[in-house]
Amino acid sequence: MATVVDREIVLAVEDLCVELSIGGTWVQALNDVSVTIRRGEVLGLVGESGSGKSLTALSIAGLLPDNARVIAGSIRLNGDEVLGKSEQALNRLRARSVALVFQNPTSYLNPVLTVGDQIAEIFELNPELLDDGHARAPRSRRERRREAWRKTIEALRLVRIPDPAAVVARYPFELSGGMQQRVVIAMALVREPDLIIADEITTALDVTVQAQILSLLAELRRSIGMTLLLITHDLGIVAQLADRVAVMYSGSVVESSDVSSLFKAPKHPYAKALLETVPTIHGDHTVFRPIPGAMPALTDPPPGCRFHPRCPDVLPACSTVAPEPLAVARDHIVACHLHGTPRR
Amino acid sequence: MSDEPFVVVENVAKHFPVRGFFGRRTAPVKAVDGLSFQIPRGRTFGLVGESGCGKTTIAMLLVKLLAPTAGHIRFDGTDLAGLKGPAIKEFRRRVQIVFQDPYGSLDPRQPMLKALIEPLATLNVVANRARAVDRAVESIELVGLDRELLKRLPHELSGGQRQRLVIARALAVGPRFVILDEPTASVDVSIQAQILSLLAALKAQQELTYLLISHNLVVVRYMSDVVAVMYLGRIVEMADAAELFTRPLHPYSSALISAIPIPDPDARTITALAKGDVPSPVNTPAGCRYHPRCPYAERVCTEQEPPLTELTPGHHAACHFPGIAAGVLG
Repeated sequence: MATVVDREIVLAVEDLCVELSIGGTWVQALNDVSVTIRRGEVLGLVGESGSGKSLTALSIAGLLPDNARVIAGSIRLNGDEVLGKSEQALNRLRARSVALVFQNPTSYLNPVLTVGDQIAEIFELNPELLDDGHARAPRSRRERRREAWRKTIEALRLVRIPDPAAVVARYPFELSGGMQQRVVIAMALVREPDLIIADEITTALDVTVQAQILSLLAELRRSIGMTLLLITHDLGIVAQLADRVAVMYSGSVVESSDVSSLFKAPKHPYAKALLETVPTIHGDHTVFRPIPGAMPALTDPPPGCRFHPRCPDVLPACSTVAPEPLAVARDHIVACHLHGTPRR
Repeated sequence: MSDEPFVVVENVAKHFPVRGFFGRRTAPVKAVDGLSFQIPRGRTFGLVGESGCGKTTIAMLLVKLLAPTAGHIRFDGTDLAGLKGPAIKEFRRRVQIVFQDPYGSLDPRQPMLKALIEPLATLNVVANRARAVDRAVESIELVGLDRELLKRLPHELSGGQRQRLVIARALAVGPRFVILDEPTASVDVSIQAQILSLLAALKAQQELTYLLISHNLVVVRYMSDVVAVMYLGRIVEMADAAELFTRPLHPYSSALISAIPIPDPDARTITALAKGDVPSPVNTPAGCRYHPRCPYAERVCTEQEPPLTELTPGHHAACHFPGIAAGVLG
């Protein structure tokens, strides 16, 4: 995976600042968030609830709720600025360039359409997907329908749904949670998007079913080289699937690097502490260390570094100056006063 | 007092009738179907399994919120079925439960102080209100919360604080046996670690006995002395925690263990050993209940249900081919 660093950048989020309206006042929810994903790469975006992972994802897809606004920064998808696009352009973007898969598949499947009908609908809305490039584009409506059906079954097979020809005729409620999640993944894949955003997609599933979905993702990553923004609170999932990882805390990316540097030698005290909160089974004993305190509320953030009240290695500067992200090695960025003073 | 273990569960079954069209009875849901285990005083017994395996039903049976369809549950030598009147209050003072969702087990309009005092009054733990307030303050400080929080409403607390509060409420009545039903399922990892450390410290300090129910194997491994793995209402494997996690004998236990995403990018070991999904407990498969999902199932597995057998001292498994999945775990 050493060559991944030189591949083209699919997503570049730079210094993104987003505010949320809470009880009538605007509070800063994302502070200068920067992440990049290259083609064929899996970026794990990890953090606890309220750290800003999902808000980052929604910003990328242009799906921010009414009580949120972008105040600075840029989001470029294949070099094209997403921020400031018209609703129509955003619809186009969401139809083809970015696909989202969320935690709860039942909320994203239409209960009154069969699985086959809702996947075929994607082809109806995006007829160019039926055009394979080399073959003659199907012309008649009937031909298009037949081709859409064939591609639908192919997609269900790709996500390892047993007996796809039977499943197309089923309604979502007739499928288990794991099967529904596979259908949603298939719906993301058929659009051949540049980027797939997967937000806590296995959180609602049982452990053995989670293992099935995770091994499916690992397999798809090898076979079709998908570009994935994998949002999760589970460091284990990141270690198992991601090439690179960005750790978020209270609205900021505190550390980002390749997955093995982060897990072997985390630099930011929060990343370090977060790794220690995970008890591991393998090894002689199960030890872990809790992080004291809790993440600050957005409405009442501490001055300086937002982690300083919980940090074991706090410096005098931490309570007054917010540390800026700084490269400590190639592709390894840390926002912490312990790791040098910012250049800017 | 007697010589038998503190908590004894003997061939317990709980079937829920299902009413079909026009209220006609159909096949019952066998939530718990012939379960036996014992918990010695001062130990933590871990119960793991996926949704629908009957974990929570067992918790409800142990606190006498449900009565078993068959079998016996004895606490400190007394059968729960025979408890009546004041004996039930005495039982509730000695056995408490902490549920998964602290928000769901707190009245949204009740200040924390009231939430803590109520069980003390109902169970006649204290003589008067002043003493109850003292006890509430004591128990909230015991779980590491500030007494200031007693004035607050549930929504004014963080998830971690709420979970600590329901633990404080359970401990305020001075129980000896505490059932923890997914105590950390609703909190973040950094808070989970805090709650687990707190529970471990409280157990040592107050000499408690725990039944820990969780779908999280890592949590169970960390907290428990003995672990039982449940599948569709039955125990499929039971052993000392260290033994079960290093030498699982049932393929389902192996599937659960290999399903844990290990936080080590050099050990990309995640494998899906169980096929498909957990079937509904209404139509449990014939033979071994796990056979439709088991990659090693043979004909005998579809015909005969294997009994839970002690294969090595203290290590029980219900499988026709115990240890068959042993090679797949590193």
